[in-house]
Amino acid sequence: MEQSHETSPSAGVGAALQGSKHFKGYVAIGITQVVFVLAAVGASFLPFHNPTSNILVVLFFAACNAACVASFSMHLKSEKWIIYRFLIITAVFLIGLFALTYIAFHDRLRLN
Amino acid sequence: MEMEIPYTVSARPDTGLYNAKIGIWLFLASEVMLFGGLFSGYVFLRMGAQPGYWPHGMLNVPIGTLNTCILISSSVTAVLAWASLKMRQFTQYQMWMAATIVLGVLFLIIKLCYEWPEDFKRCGVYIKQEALAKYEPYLGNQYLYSKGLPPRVEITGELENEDALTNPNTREYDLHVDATYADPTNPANDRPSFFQRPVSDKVVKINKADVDFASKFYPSHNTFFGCYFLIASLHALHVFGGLIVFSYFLITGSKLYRKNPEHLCNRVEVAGLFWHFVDLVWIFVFPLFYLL
Repeated sequence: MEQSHETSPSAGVGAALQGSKHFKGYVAIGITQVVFVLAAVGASFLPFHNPTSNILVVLFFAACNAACVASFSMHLKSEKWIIYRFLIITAVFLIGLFALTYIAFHDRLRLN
Repeated sequence: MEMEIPYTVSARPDTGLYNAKIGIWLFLASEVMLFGGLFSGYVFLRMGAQPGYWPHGMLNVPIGTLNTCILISSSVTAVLAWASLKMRQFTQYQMWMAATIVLGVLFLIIKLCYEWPEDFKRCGVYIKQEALAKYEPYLGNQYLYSKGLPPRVEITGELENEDALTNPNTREYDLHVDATYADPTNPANDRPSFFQRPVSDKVVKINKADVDFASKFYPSHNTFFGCYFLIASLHALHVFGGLIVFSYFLITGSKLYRKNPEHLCNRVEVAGLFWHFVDLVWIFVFPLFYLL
């Protein structure tokens, strides 16, 4: 089967300039991620009154970091709808999995 | 007659994407469920652990932080390699791809050649409930109780007589205890610290009759290390797999680039998506095991 061989979109000075802008964007995302990691490390050693606060703050920074990777590095912010459909189904199953874990844990306590 | 695989470069009309991209996203969805299952198992075990039986601060946080930054950097260089290909700058692509491979290898070297061997040097001894009072000078449980903190049931350090773990005729463990157990009522030891506390000069003799279980920090040592080594090993295997694919693209890429640059670009994008996912998994592994 024949298919088109796209080779055009990129050569030339204009493209190179656009590329340099993109490069800076990706580097900025990387730096932001490192900042989130350091913030999570710092937050984990803060003397909160209860450990749950530490867990929530650290996981918040981890979630921000994950959002950076997914949105920018994996280009999910501008992806085709079909990919979102796959991911919505996956997210539903994942939430169900964690919900089952939570329910099972409390069920075990009741049995005890 | 040569037959070409369809939609490796151009988009399939019904999905609007080339086939490999659909394929990698379906694969990543299955990977989310794989790691999701392991993480939910970890959460279940951790929530159900008895007070004092879920260790904190056992892993080397500075090394974990460094490795996280290395993996994030490799994720950035991977996306820059793809962007270079999009711009048809093949030399830059090779440079960024080589950097990604170097950073990935560095991540594995630090983990497999430094961090884990250091863990395997250390040892933990779980004291029987009825013998906890005997080792109170090293555990400091009355002090912890007065402050509303969970008790200590394990003494960790480095064994002086390593044969004690295997030799049934040895009656006690001679343990160079971690600094926490040398001064258990020091408020500085109430919480884990950023830098691992060193092993002290103090040697504690622990009678085998008082011990529930003793071993080095292997996966079998406790549930925490079981979960950690399982998830971290699976993650390391993913890193290794990604490195093989990237190395293949670096070595054989020029041939395909000359034939059809957009095809190589799409291949690198798909492998890059996998690599970013590996980075994303580590972003959760690091805080869950090293920090919390």
